[in-house]
Amino acid sequence: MAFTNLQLDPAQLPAAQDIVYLPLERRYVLARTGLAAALTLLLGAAVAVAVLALLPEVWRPALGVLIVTPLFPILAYVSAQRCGYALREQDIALRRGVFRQRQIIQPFVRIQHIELARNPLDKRLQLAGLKVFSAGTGTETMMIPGLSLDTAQSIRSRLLQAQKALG
Amino acid sequence: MDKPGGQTQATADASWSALSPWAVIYFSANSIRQILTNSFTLAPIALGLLRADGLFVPAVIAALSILGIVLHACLVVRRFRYQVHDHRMKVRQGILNVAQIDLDFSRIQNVSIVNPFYFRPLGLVTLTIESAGSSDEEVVLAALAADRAEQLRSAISQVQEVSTAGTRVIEADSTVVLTRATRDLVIHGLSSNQAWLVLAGFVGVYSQAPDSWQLDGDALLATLPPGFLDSTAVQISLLVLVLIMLGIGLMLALSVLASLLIYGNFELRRVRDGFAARQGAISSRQLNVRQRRIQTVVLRQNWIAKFFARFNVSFEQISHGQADGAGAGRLLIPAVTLAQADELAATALDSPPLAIACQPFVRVSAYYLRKRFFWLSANFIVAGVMCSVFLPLWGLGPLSLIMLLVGYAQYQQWRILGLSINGDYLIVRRGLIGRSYVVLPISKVQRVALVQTPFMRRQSVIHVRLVLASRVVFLPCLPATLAQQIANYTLYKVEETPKSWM
Repeated sequence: MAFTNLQLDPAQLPAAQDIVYLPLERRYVLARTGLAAALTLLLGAAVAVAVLALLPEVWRPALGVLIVTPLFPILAYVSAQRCGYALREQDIALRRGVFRQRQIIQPFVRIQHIELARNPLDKRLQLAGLKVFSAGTGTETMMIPGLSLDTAQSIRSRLLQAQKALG
Repeated sequence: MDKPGGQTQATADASWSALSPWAVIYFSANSIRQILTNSFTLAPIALGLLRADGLFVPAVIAALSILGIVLHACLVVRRFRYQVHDHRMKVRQGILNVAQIDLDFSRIQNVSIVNPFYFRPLGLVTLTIESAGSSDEEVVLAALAADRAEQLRSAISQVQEVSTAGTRVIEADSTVVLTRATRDLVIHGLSSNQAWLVLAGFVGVYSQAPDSWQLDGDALLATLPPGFLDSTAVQISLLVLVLIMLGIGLMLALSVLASLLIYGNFELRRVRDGFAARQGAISSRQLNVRQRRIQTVVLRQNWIAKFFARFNVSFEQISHGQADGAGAGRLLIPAVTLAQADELAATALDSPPLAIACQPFVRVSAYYLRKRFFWLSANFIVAGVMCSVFLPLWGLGPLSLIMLLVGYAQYQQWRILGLSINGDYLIVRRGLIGRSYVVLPISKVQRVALVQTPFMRRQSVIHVRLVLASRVVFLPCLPATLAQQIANYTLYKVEETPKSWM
């Protein structure tokens, strides 16, 4: 290959800030919210019962703390709503996080392996998560949750294809 | 041949070779070493045993455990079988669960030849082969004849060369790049204070020790010269100071000793496809590192090393989850000067001269400093309130002094923290008194992440995380445009010409 060392214009490079992220499946977002709501309800009820039954009466006002509980389903909703993914020609991107908003970009050339992850809820709703691994990322996996099974499979085959083409 | 069918297995069995019986020594020594390195956790148990009456029980237990270790080693050696083909080797090991490792030579990351002192009279060595794939696939061939090990090593590197025939082969065959004199090793010992770990371990053991072993405060006071208790605060604090200095001196001496033992006779050679390092005063160890596998070059300098103007350079390879690129996948070159470090980095990364320290480093956003100052002052307010409640008012004096010092240190760290992009390389500078540099070839980046909180969005700063196979490089609080430029440029470099990263 001929050696080149052209001057690069940073403005001309494909820009990560212009990526348009696709939202996750609606039913995943709702299921996440519902799950969070159910868990919060369960926990809140348990705490309320414990306070009412086991602790002296002076503790009752402390139950006011339970007013924050709707926050958790809302957070779960916002987090799932904000989460998104994008496929580009050369890489796959994931955006997630409510407060710490992360944008993770994985070039195809550096993918080591890909995993479809489906928990029982995913199976019921015909959903799938896609885990993408590269070297050195043992501790931090890139997981795109809440894809429909078809999408997940087609993304996976796209990634495998790209991997094969790039050697 | 590759199919594990019954019939082919039978023919293959003929070529399985076993280890020399001397390997028992290696495996026993290895178990004992592992037990000793974990001894800080075992020490309380051992001490508990010692507290039992008499020495009989502990002696029996010690004898039994040594017997067990040797028996285990015997079994391991008896069951160990290996087979070497042209391009691959197979190893079968395990006592109850027999596992077969099928290792392709082209996937091997490191080959090291260790010559432990107990094998020296026998002319035997231990060959350790690490795979790039996973840490489970490490193969140890113990008690091999030295020439056989050398033959295997060169066979492996030849296969690797053929598989990378497309790349340029460096003709210089086995030239010595660097040796280290005793003086350098002493500096390394002083500047890489491993001894603190030993000390921390001892403190843990001491606190578990039976009362009779612990220092008796009254007895200690009795050893003081008469009239000492009447001496002034100045004298007492002087004494304490002297004791602390003595302790530090002892630690440094230990560290220097460790450095002399580990890195004695250090010699770094340039071989065909990488580097070969030989080191070790008592047990010599030869480590071969392939150039293509080097992911990052790190120059470290703490305040002592700064005083001698030296750096400890490491070539980091693929790490299997060890923190910070530590562990076996790392070749450390102790106490080199900046010029030598520059040259080593350039050779290791096959780059033009980098002049690492003279780069135009860009500072990170002042938001980084403001954030740290904010948390510092929050802590100061809490500590100040506590202090004025529980202590006399003069307590605020030392507290503010400490806070000022910490604040100054944070300012210094921010001033030094910087990055520089030099064509294909990104260099990150950190430090407080000394300087540390991480040099990474941009094309070896595995994954890019941008992190931003709503606060950071308002200030338009972004954190950048570059994940490499050897470590994660975190660039905090960059101005948004710079962060995006770095991310885009990195992705462009990685994707535009898909170079092999290992």
